[in-house]
Amino acid sequence: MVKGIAIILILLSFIVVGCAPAPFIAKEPFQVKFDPTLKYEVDLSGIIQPDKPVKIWVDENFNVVADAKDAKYLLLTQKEYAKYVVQLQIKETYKEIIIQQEILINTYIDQINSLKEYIALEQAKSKAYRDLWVDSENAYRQERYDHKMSNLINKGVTGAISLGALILLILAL
Amino acid sequence: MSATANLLIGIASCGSLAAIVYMFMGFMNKKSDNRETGHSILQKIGLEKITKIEEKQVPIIKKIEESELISVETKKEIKEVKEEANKKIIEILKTESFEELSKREDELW
Repeated sequence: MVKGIAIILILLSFIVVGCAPAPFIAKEPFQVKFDPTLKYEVDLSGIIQPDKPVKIWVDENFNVVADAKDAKYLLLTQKEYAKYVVQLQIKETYKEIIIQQEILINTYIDQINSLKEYIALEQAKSKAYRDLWVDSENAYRQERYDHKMSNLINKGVTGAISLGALILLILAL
Repeated sequence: MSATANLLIGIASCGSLAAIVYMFMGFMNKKSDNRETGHSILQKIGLEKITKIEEKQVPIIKKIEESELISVETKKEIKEVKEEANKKIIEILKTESFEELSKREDELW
């Protein structure tokens, strides 16, 4: 019975000494994934461009002349006049596109500024993690040093006591 | 002094030495415990600081995602502007009245 208890106690002490402490699980890093932004190109090719207008030059008597330098007035047919009106419409379209592009550029500027802010915070976070690491490393080193010193003192004193006890035993005998 | 007395003095010396070492070990252990407490507090403060920083990062990410949506929408709008313009251009080119063309020109000027 006594032997059994002694064996169980010895086994338990082995288990207690042999057990490793619970492993340290680091905090999961903040997951962020941004898709790359594609390059933006101004594509104006989709807008219909009319042909060059056919101009009819006339002099002061409204007679058609071949050369523009002899002309006083310009005569336009309904079809050619429409081409000029179309140019005004294209100008108006460009104006609308420019306004939209301004919105687009400002959106990208906002994104860049947000990313700058994000990087600043990321740097602060990185510094905080580094501080934690330095603190842990210093604590570990101090603990290791103390453990080493403690072991040394323990061994020295145990040795001295054992030696003293041995001398005392020899003297007593 | 008798041999017994010497023996007793020797045993007492060993015992005293052991007691001093035991006290020293106790002091070392206490020091270690204090250091561990300090370390735990520092770690807790550090992790809280990191959590706060991450909390600040969340709205920034949302803002970036929102602006990404705005840029996609704006690109769509630009496409729509072009499509709308093409419709108007075709309409102008098909117009068969000087009056209407002139009216349109006045509007666009």
